[in-house]
Amino acid sequence: MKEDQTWRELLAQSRPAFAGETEVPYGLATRVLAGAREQRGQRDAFERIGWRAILASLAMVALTAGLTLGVQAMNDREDLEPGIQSLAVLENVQVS
Amino acid sequence: MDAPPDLAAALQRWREGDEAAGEELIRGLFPVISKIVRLHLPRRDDENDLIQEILMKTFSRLHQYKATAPLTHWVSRLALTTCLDRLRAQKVRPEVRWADLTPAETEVFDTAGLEGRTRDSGDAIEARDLVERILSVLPAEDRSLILMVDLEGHSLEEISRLTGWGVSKIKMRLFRVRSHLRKLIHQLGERK
Repeated sequence: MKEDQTWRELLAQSRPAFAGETEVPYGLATRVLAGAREQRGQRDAFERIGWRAILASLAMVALTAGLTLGVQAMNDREDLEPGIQSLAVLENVQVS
Repeated sequence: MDAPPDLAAALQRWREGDEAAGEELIRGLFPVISKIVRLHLPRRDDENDLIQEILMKTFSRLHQYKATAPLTHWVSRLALTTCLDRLRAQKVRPEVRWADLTPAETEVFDTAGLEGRTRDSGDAIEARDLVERILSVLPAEDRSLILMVDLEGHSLEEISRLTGWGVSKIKMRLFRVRSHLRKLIHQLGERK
């Protein structure tokens, strides 16, 4: 087909203009490596922050659990109705 | 297109924290990326900006590279994906008109079908502009596919590896692109 022939010819003619470069342009490597260093630093920093955040969260969970259990135990000892509590105080009854 | 041994060694040293190995990696990967960018990116875009973007992406994802394929393959796929994303973001022209062609492009087109004519090396840029003008009416994937096959001479399996598309999908798409191209070139010739 004539169209195919035209297309092939256009490609053959343009081929040299599509060839890539082999020499790294001046400054490109420096910019890329500076960016890579920055990214690496950020990733390390995020990792450190992440670990600290996880440890802090675990500490908070442990503290909250301890407080909850402590308050629960105290409530268990003082869970009489106010009227019964008053009677117990009046009669000096020991409630354990 | 296997990764040269020094590239693999440079990668290993880079991972161990050797900064100088980064420059070796850039020197080794630059020609691969440059070739892909020039093939898949229209000339009006800044080539070096895109090469830098691809290299930055490469370095930021090097920890994900598992060495199941050569590094150059992995980077080629990354470069092609980035180029395709850039191409997709550009407007697809509705049509290519004879009136839009520059005088140099019309001359290239007129002489393209003639047999036995002498080819001037200075025509390469104009021919490339014309090829890109014709391809600018195609979707990004079609444009890249036809160049990979017709200009680079990639096999369907290689294209499948680079793009992640299935071979049968590539065949179908290629058939459709060729028909579309024939129609475009025919219309361009008719409108002279």
